[in-house]
Amino acid sequence: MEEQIKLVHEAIDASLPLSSSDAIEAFRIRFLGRKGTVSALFEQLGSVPKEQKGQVGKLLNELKIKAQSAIDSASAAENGKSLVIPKTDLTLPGTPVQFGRLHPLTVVLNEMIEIFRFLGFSVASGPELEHDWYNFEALNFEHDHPARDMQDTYFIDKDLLLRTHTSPVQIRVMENQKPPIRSIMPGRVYRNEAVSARSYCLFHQLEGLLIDKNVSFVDLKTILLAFAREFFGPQTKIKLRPSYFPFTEPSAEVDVSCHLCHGKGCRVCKHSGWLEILGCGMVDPNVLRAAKIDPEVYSGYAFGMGIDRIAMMRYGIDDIRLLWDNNLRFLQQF
Amino acid sequence: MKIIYSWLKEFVDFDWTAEELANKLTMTGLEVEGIERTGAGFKGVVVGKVVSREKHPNADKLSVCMVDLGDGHPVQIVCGAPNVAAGQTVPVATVGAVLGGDFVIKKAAIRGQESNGMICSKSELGLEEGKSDGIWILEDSLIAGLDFATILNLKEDYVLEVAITANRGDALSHLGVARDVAALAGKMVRIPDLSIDPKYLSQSESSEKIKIEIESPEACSTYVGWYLEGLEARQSPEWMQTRLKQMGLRPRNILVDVTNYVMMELGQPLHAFDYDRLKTKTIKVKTFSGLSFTTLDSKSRQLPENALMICDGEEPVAIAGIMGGENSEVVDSTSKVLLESAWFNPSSVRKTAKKLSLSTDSSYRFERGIDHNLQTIAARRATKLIVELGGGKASFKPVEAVAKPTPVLELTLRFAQVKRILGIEIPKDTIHQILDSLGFKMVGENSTEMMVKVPSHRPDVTREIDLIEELIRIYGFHHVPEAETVAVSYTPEQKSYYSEENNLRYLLNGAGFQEILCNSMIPKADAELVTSEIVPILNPQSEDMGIMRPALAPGMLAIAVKNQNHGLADLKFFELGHCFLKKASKRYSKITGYDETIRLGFLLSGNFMPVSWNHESKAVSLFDLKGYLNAVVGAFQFADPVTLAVKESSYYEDYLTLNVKNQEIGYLGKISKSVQNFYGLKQPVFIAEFYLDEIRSLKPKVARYQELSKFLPVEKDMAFWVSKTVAADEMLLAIKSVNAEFIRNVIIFDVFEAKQNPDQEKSVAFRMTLQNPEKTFTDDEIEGIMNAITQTLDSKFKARLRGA
Repeated sequence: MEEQIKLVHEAIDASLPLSSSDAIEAFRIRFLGRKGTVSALFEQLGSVPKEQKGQVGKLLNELKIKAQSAIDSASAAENGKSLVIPKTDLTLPGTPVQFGRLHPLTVVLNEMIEIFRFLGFSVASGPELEHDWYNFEALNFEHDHPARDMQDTYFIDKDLLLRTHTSPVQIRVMENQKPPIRSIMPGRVYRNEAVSARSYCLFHQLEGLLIDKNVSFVDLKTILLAFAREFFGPQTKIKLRPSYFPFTEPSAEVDVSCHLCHGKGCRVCKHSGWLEILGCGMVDPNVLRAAKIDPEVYSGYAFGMGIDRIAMMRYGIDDIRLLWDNNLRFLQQF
Repeated sequence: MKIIYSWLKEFVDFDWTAEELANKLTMTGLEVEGIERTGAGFKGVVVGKVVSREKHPNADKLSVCMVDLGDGHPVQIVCGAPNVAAGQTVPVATVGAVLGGDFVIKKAAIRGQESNGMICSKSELGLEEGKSDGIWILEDSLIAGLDFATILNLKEDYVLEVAITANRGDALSHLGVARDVAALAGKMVRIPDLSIDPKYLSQSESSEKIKIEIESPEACSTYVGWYLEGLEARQSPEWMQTRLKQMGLRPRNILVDVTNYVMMELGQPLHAFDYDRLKTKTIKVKTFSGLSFTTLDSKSRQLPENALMICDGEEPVAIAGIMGGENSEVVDSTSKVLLESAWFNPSSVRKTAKKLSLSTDSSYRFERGIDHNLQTIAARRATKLIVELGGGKASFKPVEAVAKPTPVLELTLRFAQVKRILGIEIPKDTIHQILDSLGFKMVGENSTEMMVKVPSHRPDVTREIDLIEELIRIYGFHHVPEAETVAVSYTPEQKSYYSEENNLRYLLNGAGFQEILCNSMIPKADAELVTSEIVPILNPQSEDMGIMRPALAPGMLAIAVKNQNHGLADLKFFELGHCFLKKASKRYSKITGYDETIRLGFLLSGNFMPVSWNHESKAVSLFDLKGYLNAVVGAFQFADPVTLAVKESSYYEDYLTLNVKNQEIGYLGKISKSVQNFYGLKQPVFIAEFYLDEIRSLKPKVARYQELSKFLPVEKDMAFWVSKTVAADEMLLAIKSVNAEFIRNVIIFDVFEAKQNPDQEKSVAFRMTLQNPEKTFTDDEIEGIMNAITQTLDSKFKARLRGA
């Protein structure tokens, strides 16, 4: 039986190529027709001993496929004869070129920075390793005051810590520059908080500071509304709630109307219609004094926001750790 | 802080719903984070009597009952509980009743039998977790038709979860929150009843039973003690227990419960000592150091230096303001009590509590500042509640030790300053009304300013700016308009690297590099592979985040592994971030002893190009990375050339530094096998880092136009046999030095090993672009240059021209 199969293989090879529709039909009748050679072999399969049946059956199937595919490809070629064959298949994909992308936090941060630069703010930066003085003391955080519990701190030594907010850069800016001051201070900050889907031990903030003569809360509210509309869309509303930060007085939390539901209430805004995005206030006179600026002559405002949380809101990211896992499949979505 | 709606109403009148109250509190700075409805979770449930019970004709597990609901006309109810039986007294949700807030009971037909209500289990009424075993069978004495919620004394109420900011110690009680509500509603607060029914008062004064000596007046300005006797440590009344439970406190006995109740009511932490367990009857308030003390939670605690203690003579019986001692706590047999109501210094309590890692309701309030004038009032209130609710007799007068009277603070509020800070004017009568209802007393006023006395419950208000905050907090930020213009003084743009860094990012994105951001806190082992000058964190969250990264490489490698383990092997990353080294002195750091610098890191691994039909994929090599670095160096535009130095490194097996005028500006390398194994990386990884602070200090190239030659350039190829010890780099420099004016460019286009002696010799092929700015080259001139090159390479490197 195997010998016979081999002979039919040879016979098929010998009859190729099939160069006309007649030749294809003759080939089909000869091998695959009801009385064709291959069909005849299949009929003999019944008489093959049981233990060989599997092996022989497999060989027969291969034979049948070979004959059928010879017919198929010849038919396809025959059918295509009337078409114009292009010199080059222009539908082949181009040589792959891949651009990299920015990390989503950089995307969001850059967008914010551009808005504030448009509004006249310069970018300033400072160290992540910071003295207690800049991070707390000069910002009106008293020693042994519960306000220090607001920010769980990593320490390097007794006086040196990982900055818990970008606000120390305010002091550094005020030390190096006379008013008027208009600065934004983006950067990485650290809090000793347990890592979970909702919080990470480091994140990014954008801080803003403006010091000038006759600056009032009206100016602060104006700049915040301008920012909110540029960033979240022209229909955005803002709402200020009194709050407490040691370095501003009065202080407020700022909510913006949810950009997804426009205030109707949805999952992202926890059905409140508002998103809490930012803290702000008028610079506390003690802070101005610490930076050797006379609070009776100058006043100013400061604001700060967490970039990571805003990025998560914007992109619908539900686990903050994804931002630090840097999985390529995640990063390439932005 | 939990605030109970009904409790708050005892102190101030308002007619807002719990939701309205929550919104108003939030808008004054007392943010309500949640509202919990308490009391009965049902309406329309009455007591019923099961008159008869028969099996449901169409269902084995159901019963058809006739239930009397008190009106003498029993109704038919289908019940699925196995334990229902005739004669039982049960709770019945009648038609129209509401369970679980929104489940309305309707008249229904169940398998063909009419049902006019539902006989309830405990869990269906929300009074038991999980699923009850069957219906709730009540005492037979209950009369049919009675409202079940009334019987259980379940009144509807709300518990508000209020986030109190660190400055608002005054709001850590119902009275305190009521003050803000009063200011909002334009009302005044009511102080609770402090008069003690004379029949509960004894003829003796507390001073006959107890002496008080304050040895640390700075830490304890006031100590009030009240002696009570004939007491029983019985259960407190149901209403008090309910409120304590709603506050999240566990009721114990009336003596302890009242101290907690008054703390939540007025904000004054109190402590009850078992009088008989005090060894001497002189209470001393003094500091101790290095003592071991067992608190009433039966924990032995090592006290820090200068911990303020309450002592019965010499032995400590309580950690002042934090927690009482086991040795003097109230027990079941207690019949005499010394009630303590004191003012402890916030910072002193905080220091000790911090060092003990122990925060209690009491220490939390002391740390945030207690009303200086509240001690006697709170002691009186607690004494009243203990004797009037639980029996016994109180001394008619407390002992009041005042070590240091607290002066009343007077502040001046300039009306112009209100306008200057807020940008708006607040009407004067509104200012009066707000400050008055918050407890500030007017002591003087003229056309430009007013003087007020700060109430003792607001120790956080010490300056004019604090008064302005109080005003706007109550008046509302919605009164502050937005301006129509953003008027600014001109400020020159300050120097920053923001644009420069972003340009680099976009450049690298265009070259295919993905930006990543890695954790700056890395494991010690990872950091120590890089350097010994590590910066450890004193209190890391975990060992894995114990060291500030000394370089970008460790973080990038960790991310490479994560991606590799997700089947992502072709990696092209960059990161821009701060790195930290411990160094005695360094040029770029703002912090002495540490070196914090900004680096730009690259990581390359896997295939250089994705697989495609028109070219082969190729594994990346060090030269691919070097090519990118060369391009980036070009973008930096230095005035001086960048040179490379091959160096040794344990981290890298092939390692080069980039230098400008002997200043190292970066490096590149292929990580060593041991580092590769350390991270579990399956394929070679190439890393480079630029030191951006160094780069920023370098002299930039100033672009100057040079005239383009009008004469065609000529390209010539030359190949040389040369020893493998000769660096290609040096040959390039040598060729250029032959005639810098005419040799415009040289590239190496082929390198291979000699067949005969592959270990010693290689062939290097150069393509020179020759151009004369003045004229067209003659053949002789070209040959002259080529000969000069051959001679130079021969003399310098013993290189032989191939095919010569």
